[in-house]
Amino acid sequence: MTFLAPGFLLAAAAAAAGVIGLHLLVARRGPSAALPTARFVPAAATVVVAVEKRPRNLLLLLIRVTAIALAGAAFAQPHFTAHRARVLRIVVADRSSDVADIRPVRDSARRLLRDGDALVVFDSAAHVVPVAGAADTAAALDRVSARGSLSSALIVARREAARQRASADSIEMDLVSPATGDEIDAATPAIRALWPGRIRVVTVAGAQDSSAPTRIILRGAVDDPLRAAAPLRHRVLDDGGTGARVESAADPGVRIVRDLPGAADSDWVRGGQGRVLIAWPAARVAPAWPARVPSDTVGAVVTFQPDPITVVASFARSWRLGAASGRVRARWIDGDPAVVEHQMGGGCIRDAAIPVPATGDLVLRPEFGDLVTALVRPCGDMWRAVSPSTQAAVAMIAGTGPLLTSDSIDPATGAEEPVVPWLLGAALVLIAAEALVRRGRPNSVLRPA
Amino acid sequence: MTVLATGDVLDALHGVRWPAERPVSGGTPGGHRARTRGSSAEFAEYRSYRQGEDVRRLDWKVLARTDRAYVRLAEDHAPLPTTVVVDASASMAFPAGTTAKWLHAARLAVGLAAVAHATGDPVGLRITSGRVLPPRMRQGVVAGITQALTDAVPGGSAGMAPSFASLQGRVALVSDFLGDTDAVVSLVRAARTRGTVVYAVHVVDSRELDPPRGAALVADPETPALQRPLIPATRGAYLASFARWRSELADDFHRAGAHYVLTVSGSAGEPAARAVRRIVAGWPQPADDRLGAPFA
Repeated sequence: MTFLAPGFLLAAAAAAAGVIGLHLLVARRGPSAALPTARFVPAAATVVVAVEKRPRNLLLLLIRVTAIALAGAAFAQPHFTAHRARVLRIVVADRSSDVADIRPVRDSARRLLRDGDALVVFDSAAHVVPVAGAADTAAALDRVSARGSLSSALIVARREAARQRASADSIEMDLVSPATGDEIDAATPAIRALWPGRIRVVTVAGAQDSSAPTRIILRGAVDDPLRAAAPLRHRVLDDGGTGARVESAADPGVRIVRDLPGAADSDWVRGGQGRVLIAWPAARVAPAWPARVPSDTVGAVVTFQPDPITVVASFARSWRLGAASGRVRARWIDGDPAVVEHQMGGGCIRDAAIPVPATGDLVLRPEFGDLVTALVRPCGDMWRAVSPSTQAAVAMIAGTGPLLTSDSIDPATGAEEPVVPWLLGAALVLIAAEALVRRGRPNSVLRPA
Repeated sequence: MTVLATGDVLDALHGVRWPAERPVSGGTPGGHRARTRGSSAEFAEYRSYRQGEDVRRLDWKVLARTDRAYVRLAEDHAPLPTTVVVDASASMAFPAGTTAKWLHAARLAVGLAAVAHATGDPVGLRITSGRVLPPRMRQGVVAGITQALTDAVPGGSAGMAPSFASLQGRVALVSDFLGDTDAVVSLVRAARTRGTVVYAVHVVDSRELDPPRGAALVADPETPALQRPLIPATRGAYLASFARWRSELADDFHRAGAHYVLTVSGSAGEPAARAVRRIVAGWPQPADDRLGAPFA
């Protein structure tokens, strides 16, 4: 049996000694002696405290000392451990959407877990898997759509370490995670600092950034100013007018058409999953897109996903979108739709009625680049941005130094042994009994001389 | 019963006399100069004969030589009745084991009685709430006083005033004056007006001047309910208060016209014979550091 807070035992022993000492003290009127001139002694308290060799009120003394001993033992939190392992391993497995493939996570967790080790599974939240089912849980881990949070995982792992600190001499934390930048928030370094030992980080592949395609087909004039926009500057594959050269396995899935889309373009959209056709004419090319009379040369366009992007410029708005249906992805400042998305097959077509001036620096401005980036994203909301893992982040999480010793971590609050409530209850019962016994002895302190 | 040994006191006081401080009145012959002139053998002076006087008092030889009528006057002597009033209250039975204070007072009383008797005065004794021996000049009066004091047991809280109220002549009050002191002082003042000579013999025990430091609680033997803690914190105040009271008591007796004499009993006290010598000589206070400077 060990005690999590042995200091309380010492405090209880000191208190018991104090109680015994108090029981040796007797307040009495002292040895009275005759003195005819006693009237000249100043009046003062006539009770004096004397020390006896035998404690008085043995029953009260026994009750009080026992109550103090029980309370001290309860606060000292006795811990009964039959076996104390050398190293306890806490495996923290990442099952969030930041993991590209859950299988490496399963394999690593199963390989690391031993009998008696703890498993912490986390995504945006974390929870401890009971030891009995840790191996099975690790083998059956599934990837979830929630983003990962290393802060939550570290907090739960530390709490579990505090709960099991008495079962091992050292505690090792193994983190199986891609440790992407999105999983690390502002609180993560401070929470990591609460773990005064090293962490073994087993990195797995993180999910890919799907927020922007790596390559884009642009069908338009050679001197199309849109080519100068930052998101397109180094990603355009083809500008040959038909796009036939890129109809291959390396099809990037995003096509910008600066003229009237044809049936081939529609077939292309239908031919693949997630293909995006952006009909962004350089001029009014379709009768279906009615002209704006008079044209508006001053305005702003706003996109909404994921964050509002506002581009203010002297757009020459001489036409407007003809189709009213579809999902509006951007609007003009006066409320007219600027970009509308239509589902088609497994992909989508976006009609963009945003004139791009051939002169000026609009296409070079950052907000215009953000606008183009928003327009070339995958259909609907099936995209996400991923901040890749960095060596600095992994090093921060891993830390340096030896393994965490179990004594260096504070015990968990409320981690009480089952015997603790009984000890406290017995102490309370004795305190109540002490009051009753003391009430039965009206003057147990003052004794006659 | 405590044995009252007075042999050493009487031996030490052999030959000591207790003269009156002024001429006394009285018709019987005594040891003190009387206020009246009489016909004793001790010549004093001549005075012219006054008509109507007894012609037998004329000094015929002077008349024959000078042809003038003179009356021969002589010093007359009278006794001074002396009463020793002894306080036998409980406060005098101190300390409890030896009652040294009472024994000292009793030996003082015997010594004063012996000295007065040796001077030729009738001697009496009054013990508060106890025996009364009227002044007598017979031979065994001192022994009777000794026996009465031996038989007396101090106790109770009887005051001195009732025993002192009607006394005349010379009165020696032997007491610690812890009882009805104010009444006694008033009676002394009244007695002084009728010519009574009062000696206030204040008996203080050495343990009252320097109480044992072991006792934490002290009680007045005459008032058991009065209990006070005599501890280091209160000891200084006690000594100061007791000394101030003694000084005030001496002043009160002096103002009332009495002779105040302080004597200390106990193992570190003053021998009774020496105290008696001081009393008859009028020295108010023994040389004792515990008593402080002698008062006027």
